[in-house]
Amino acid sequence: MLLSLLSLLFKIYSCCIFVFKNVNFLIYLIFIIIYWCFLKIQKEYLIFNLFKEVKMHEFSICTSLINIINSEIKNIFLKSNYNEKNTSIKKINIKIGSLRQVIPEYLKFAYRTLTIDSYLFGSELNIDIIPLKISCNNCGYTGEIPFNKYVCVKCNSISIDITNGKELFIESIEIEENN
Amino acid sequence: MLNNISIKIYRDILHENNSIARENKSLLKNKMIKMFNLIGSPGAGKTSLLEGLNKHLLNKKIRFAVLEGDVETTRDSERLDKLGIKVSQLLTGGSCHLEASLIHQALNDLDLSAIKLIFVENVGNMVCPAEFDLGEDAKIAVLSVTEGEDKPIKYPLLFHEAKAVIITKTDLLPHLKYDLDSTIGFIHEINSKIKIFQVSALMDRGILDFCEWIINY
Repeated sequence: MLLSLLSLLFKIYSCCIFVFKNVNFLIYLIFIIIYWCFLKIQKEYLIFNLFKEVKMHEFSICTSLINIINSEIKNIFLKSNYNEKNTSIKKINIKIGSLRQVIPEYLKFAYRTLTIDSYLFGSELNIDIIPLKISCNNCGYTGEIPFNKYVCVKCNSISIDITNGKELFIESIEIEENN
Repeated sequence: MLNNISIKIYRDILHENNSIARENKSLLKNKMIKMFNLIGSPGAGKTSLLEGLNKHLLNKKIRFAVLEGDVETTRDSERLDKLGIKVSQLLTGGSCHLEASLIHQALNDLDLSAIKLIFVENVGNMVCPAEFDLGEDAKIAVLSVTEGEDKPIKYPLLFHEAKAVIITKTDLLPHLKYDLDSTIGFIHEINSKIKIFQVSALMDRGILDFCEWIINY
């Protein structure tokens, strides 16, 4: 197996030298092979060790996020003349309230890992963090307050209702049409 | 030529979990059972609190079950099982929280005819469990006096969602440099309507008040 691979590489190598008079092409090819192996290993390793064993809440959230996106995309394809071949998913826009304590980097990492080898791979996950907003029951102030100081900024009252900051939803999907 | 299309969808990400949670809730409502979700850091005293509650609930002849969430091992269930409490062990195998689907399976396996109350002892963690609804009647935050006073503002979602806070291990207060008033202040900052109980499971202090609050909830 290894021997045949080596002899194949050697054949390509001699071809390259003969045809292109340089070895750049071969280096590219080796890079592509290494990258492909890396993706395969990464998928097995990450999905097994991180997703199945250390399932932080970002991974749980990401799993349901991907399920929803897949079902929505299926719907879109059914209703229009777009399909997997003539489009690619460019961006997923989601909104998360700051009270949710979701770490965007972790969620993006989970997204990359869980979409490897799928139609969604390569699409960008755009996370919009919604700041904490309150309405004060004492003075009627409505607006943002700084994180970890849960009192009204105007009158210092603790009788407040949190109006924004607990969101967790998908806003839109951006699809690119390839002609 | 490339064409970009943006499609608005506005869908709740935890929709699947929330719909199973609603199923759990209606199942329990039909059977007239109340379910409470205990959330606190590892070592906060969640299991001890349940051990303490057992005596008072037995006196009042109220039968209850515990759904015990753990990452690994069944040690907590064994502790409760020794006292004759009905326990179902939920092993999450590395996951840091319980989800509604796991609770749904546990409820299906449990004999719901004889019990009035269910306590879910969540995995020791204050971030993730607050995120996932299980279909409970109320989330209850468990906080011990050996932790920092500022825990409530470090984990705001939990204290915002919870209907009651149990401050445990209060028998240790004379030996600690701990400002209980500032903790209570922080809790009220986040949630002014929350009920606070100060208990010591070891000395059996304050448990009865909490027990009555649960029964009348």
